[in-house]
Amino acid sequence: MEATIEVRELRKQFGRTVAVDGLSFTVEPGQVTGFVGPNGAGKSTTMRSILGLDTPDGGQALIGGRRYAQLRTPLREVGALLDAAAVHPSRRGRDHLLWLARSHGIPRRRVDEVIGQVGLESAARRRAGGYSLGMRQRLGIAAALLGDPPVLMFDEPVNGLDTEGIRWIRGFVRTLAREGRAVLISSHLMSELEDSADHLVVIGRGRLIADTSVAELLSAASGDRVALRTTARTDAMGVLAREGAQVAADGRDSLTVTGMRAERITAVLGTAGVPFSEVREHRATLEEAYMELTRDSVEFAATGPEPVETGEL
Amino acid sequence: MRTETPPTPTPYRSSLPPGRDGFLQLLRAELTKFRSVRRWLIGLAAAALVSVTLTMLASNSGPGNNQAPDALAGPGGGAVQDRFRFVHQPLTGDGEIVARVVSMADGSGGSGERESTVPGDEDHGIVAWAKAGVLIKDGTKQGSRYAALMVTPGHGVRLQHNYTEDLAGSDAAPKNRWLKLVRKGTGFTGYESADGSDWTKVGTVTVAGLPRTAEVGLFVASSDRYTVERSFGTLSEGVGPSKATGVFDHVTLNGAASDAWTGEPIGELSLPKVPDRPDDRPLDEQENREELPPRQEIEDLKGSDRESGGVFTVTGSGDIAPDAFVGGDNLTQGLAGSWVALMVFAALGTLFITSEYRRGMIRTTLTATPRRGRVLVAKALVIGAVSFAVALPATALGFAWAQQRMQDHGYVPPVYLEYSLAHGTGLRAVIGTSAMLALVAVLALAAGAVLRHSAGAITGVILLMLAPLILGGALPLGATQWLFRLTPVAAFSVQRSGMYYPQMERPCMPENACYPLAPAGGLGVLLLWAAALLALAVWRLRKSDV
Repeated sequence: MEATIEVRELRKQFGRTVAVDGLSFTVEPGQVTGFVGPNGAGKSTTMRSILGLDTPDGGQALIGGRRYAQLRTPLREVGALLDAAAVHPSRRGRDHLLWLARSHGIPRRRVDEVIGQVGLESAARRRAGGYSLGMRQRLGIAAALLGDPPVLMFDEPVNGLDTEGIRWIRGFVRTLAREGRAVLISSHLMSELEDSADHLVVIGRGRLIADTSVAELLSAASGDRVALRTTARTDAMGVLAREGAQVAADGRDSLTVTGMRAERITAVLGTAGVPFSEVREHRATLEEAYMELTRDSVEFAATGPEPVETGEL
Repeated sequence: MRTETPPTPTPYRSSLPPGRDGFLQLLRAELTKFRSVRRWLIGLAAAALVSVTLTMLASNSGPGNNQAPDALAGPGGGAVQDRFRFVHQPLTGDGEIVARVVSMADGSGGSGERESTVPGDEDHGIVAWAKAGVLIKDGTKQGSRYAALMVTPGHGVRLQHNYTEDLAGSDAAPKNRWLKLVRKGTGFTGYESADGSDWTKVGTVTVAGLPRTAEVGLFVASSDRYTVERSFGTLSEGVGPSKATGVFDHVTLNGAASDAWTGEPIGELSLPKVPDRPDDRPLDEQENREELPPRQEIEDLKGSDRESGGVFTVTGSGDIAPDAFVGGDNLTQGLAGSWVALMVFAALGTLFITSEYRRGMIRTTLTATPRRGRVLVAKALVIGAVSFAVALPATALGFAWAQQRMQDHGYVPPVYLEYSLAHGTGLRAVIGTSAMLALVAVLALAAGAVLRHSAGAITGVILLMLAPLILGGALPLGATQWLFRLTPVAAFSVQRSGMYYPQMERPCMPENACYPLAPAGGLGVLLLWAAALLALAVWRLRKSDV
């Protein structure tokens, strides 16, 4: 089986609301794919469709080329964490993993193995009702890993975690991807994926907005802007403009230069004898890139960066 | 560090052995789910404990009536009625008796002041189970062994022996019906015929222990008329004597017999304990008039017989049958605690599925096993098996213990039957009740899966089991019997008393531990309910998103 998730023209409607609207993307093995969009964009619906929990109204979601319902030992082929709270509170963490293992004839020692892998040894024999959110997330991840599957899906795995937990999950999913697995992580905050995702699938209102590698996205968002800090603002603007760059002043001693690389700016200013204290190529954060991407999406108009027209009021 | 192009994927290879997706794995998973929730296990233990305790409490008192000395015991040990008119002579060794029943009529001159509950009975004024026929009996003492071939106004031709055993022949009416009873050792074969030459075999029965010389002859009996009034939990039953007259001809006796007939009543009603006072009060104010017939009536009930030119006219009263009136139902008293278990199992069955919906765990379950129908079937099997495994020892223990105590308190034969786990009826009731409880748990699981709401499903199932019982006391008998055929309470037929005999006038109603369906049939109705509701649950689970 090829370790991929393929979503093809997926469409899902709840009543009159279209939750997912012709969505297509592929999750490749060996990398972490971030699945981003605001709350209500259709991420969870898509994931439930992939897992066969929701029946799509159109299109299909395939794992290794097959529908989930066709998988005979699904836990061996895809592991998923949808909702960390989906545990019976009276059941001990270990027993929760044990019944899952039993359903696939997975040996008991594997249960202890995954407990160790997520670092839940001390809590595994306690009842899940007393777990903190972080422990539940770890238990959910352990459950996903139980069948040692080549495809993994985590829905908002860092939601509500402390910094240490977030750092742990980031490292963990990267390790899983390095082993050759296809890993899909959803989040409504791009910043959460900053250090873990290789590839991004961005959706809004059930539609695909971007399907791109993180590197490409960042370079597109960064443009070729250079930040320049100088005490001789007017001189610098004049010199650089003469050499063909567009220069904009954004502070008392800072300029943004476009259309000229940083090395050339240094050379031009040096030749002209204009003093400067810093030349820095602007590097967009993933969050900025995301804002840029979703600026046009109607979904974000209310919270977007555009000023609201107030003139008529 | 991020790379411009994703690394060349080296497909991930797991080192785990391949998974298995068999139904057995699914069953083990569901069993693990059940036993890993401690409060469910506590619930089970509490159900067993309370069930046994409650059964013990129900068996605490004695029978509280003094009918025991009056009861007549049959060869099987149970209470029997043995009162009829017998025209007889001794027959030694093998032989046969042939007679034609010319007609049968009400022997009391049609004074039908009490209405019989048996349909069609009102027309000819004769009770449906009145009997006219031929009889071979161990002497003339009451309660002795016998075999008899008879024709009845309402139930055709019957071959009966030793009070409790009954074999049906044709539906022929008691009009010119030929009967032939052949003795060969302890084997008795009955034949019937419309013309005396073309005979149809009714059956062969064995009456063990019947001596070589037995009394053979013609008999007529007419069982008590029966009335019943039921309303919300109160039940009044009334019985009154009746008489029937049978006319026989073509009476032939083959074998070592004397050919001299003696006619006499066998058994008689006991006289009123308070003597019939020759007082001047109006008749309807006299005491005991309702309870026991007056002296003259008792005399009349002894019946009569005469023979003229080979035609025998025999008038008789009473019955040769089990006596189900004398004692109460001491079977279900030993199963009283099963109600508690029923409610706990209904709750556990429901929670086994609704708790998954409440926590969203159903998604984890269906992710592990996408074949949804199998999940529900596995859950049903697990909750059913677990319930049965707990119910069986608890019911058996409570039953055996309670029956022992009740016997010590005076629930003894012939008035009361002796039940134990070693005998058919007791064993059937215990296993049947446990099976019923297990099926209720399955029914509750299915209800929970359909409604996805704990309180609603638990209440629904308990009401489904209780409402027919409550309603049954208020509705007419016919409607009650249909309730006990069609609703899940039909399964209570597994608690049918050992005193149930279809060949009796007394109508079948839950109050006398009688249910219209046989135990297996009643359990089958509950099984169908559970299966139907489970099918509905599977259908719903399959078609909907979770």
